[in-house]
Amino acid sequence: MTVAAPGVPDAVRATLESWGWRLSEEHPDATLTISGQSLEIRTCAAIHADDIAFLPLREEELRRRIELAQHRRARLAKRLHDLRSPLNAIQGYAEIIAETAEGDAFRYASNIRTASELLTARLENMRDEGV
Amino acid sequence: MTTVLLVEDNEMNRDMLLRRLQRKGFAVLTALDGEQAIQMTQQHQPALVLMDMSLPVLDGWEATRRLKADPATKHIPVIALTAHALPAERDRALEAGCAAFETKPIDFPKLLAVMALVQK
Repeated sequence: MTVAAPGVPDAVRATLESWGWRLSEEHPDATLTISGQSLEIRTCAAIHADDIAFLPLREEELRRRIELAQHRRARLAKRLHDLRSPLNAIQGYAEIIAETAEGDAFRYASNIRTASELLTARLENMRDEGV
Repeated sequence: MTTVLLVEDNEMNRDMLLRRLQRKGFAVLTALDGEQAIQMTQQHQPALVLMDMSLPVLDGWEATRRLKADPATKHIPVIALTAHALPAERDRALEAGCAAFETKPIDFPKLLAVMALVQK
């Protein structure tokens, strides 16, 4: 397991190393930050932590939590990907119509595009918040 | 007329982008998977390749790596188009040799600007 642990006390870092874990900022499985008496686990650059582990740490427990968080993240990424693909077609065709249409048709196509952009922004938020 | 190769397995996304590019005056060739993409690039030498990354047979990352390893095609810029918006995906695409990375839904004016930029 490779983890980044910025600002984490030396004692905790020593515990992680005693398990044979690697401490590195390069492609870590998770980033661990300290928050009071607990350790926040992030498996990507998200606003909210994926999970929290309480000190003192047990190797199997922390490993399981990181693996679960990675699994949840991968599932979310796949869902967002599956939503973005059809959204790309909806938005693109609406833009094609808006380029040529006039009057009501232009307004409807513009509204479809605006709604699609809004939906895209909401997907971005879901990704960042890890919902 | 500038010839571009559009690699996209999803029929609606392919049709949509094909039409939009044609309306802007591009000659557009299409491929449905990574293997076809390599074959078409070698055969037709397009000015650039627009590559979806999640493709059947051979994925976009591997197809790009092979295009970049081949002296006959390595000068042709590849722009990654993906519905994966994670920062790690951008790094992965650039590591494979892509010149740029655009996420779906495609921002078409931005894509046109990037296409002009990578051809220089």
